Amino acid sequence: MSGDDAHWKGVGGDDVLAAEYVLGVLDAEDRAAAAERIATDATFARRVDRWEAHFFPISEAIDPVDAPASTKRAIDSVLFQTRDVARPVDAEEPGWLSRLAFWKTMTFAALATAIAVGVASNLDRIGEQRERPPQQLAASLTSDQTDVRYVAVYDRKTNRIGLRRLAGSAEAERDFELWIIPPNEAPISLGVVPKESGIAFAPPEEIADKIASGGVFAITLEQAGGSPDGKPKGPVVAAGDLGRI
Amino acid sequence: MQGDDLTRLIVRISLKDRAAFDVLYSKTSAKLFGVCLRVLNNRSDAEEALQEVYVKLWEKADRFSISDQSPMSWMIAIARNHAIDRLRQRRRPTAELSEAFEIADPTPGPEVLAMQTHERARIDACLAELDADKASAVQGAYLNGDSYAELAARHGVPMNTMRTWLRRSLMKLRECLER
Repeated sequence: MSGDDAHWKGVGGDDVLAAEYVLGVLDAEDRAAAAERIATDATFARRVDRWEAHFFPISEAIDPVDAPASTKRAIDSVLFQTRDVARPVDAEEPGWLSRLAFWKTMTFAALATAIAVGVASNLDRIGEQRERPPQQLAASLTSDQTDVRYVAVYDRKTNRIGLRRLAGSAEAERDFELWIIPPNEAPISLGVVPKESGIAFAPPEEIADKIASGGVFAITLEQAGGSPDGKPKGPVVAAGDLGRI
Repeated sequence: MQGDDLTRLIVRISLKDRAAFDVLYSKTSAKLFGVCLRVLNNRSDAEEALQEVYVKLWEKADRFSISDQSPMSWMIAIARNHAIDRLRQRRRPTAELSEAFEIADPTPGPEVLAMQTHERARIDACLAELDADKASAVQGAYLNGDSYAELAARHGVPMNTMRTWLRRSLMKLRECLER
């Protein structure tokens, strides 16, 4: 805080500081300091409350604006981590699988349910995939919560997954593990992600068809060596749905 | 919506009543979205901020009963503070501030006129006792989350001068409000 604040301190400075906080004129650092005081100093917190109440009528000038329906759904998915299976997916909602808001704090159970719901209402696309499986698929793996970014490509003919790291890495003593979540199924581990920034490897032949039929690639943060029991334990740090190139 | 109804909803939410939370959202989200839009001036930022505000409301509902505020005042305070925190976190190139260098318009802004059509609140009467440009600065700061740096640039004065003006105005307001 600047030098002239000492001058104001003796003249009911605390109360004026509370008013400045409520008005919002303080810079980021001073705001944080004031917020800290609100949490620890009940007298200061009451001063802030009083100024909030004084200034509140000014907010009548703010017009209400309807928020989009997606906002409430995102709030519910963060707070309650469930997706109502009985509720059909909105047919007009474009590419919902790629809307990262749903992946913020989703557990795998919720993610798999969400995929099941989406698949159930897109029967035409599944039929098409069964007739003409694509030879090459790609996924961009990202997350709103982390800075981890990978790009994955899959080539059915050679059964090769290419994985390139763009940003982010696991901490010491922890590993990234890559999973494929086929439609309507539990996640299948594709192994621990090596530290190199670009790798190519061949997944087991028996799951090649599963990968080729699409689904979600996800990376979780696990203990060193990966999850001990073949089920994801740690949080999802990046994910993306496999699509045709 | 009546204050009593909102109070009841918030109390139920503090007991983790999800149905009450849904009702509170449907009754209040438009107003709080307006608040976030006004401060952030960016639709997708405001949508994210609104999500975070309602998560905070769910988590802090038990704190309402120990605050001195009415339910709408309490909720708007949470929304404004969160939006302003987000605003402060945006990286702003310093060149932007010098471009905003303007002299304040001394005639009352639209916010003052809007308030005069509503029932007279004490703040309304007390703001009217300030110089018009000071009153406008106070209301603009409240509505838009202007920082001292932005206010100083807009009024064409050094930051310390703006601080002195605003603090004197706040002390006058307090003296008036406590009469």
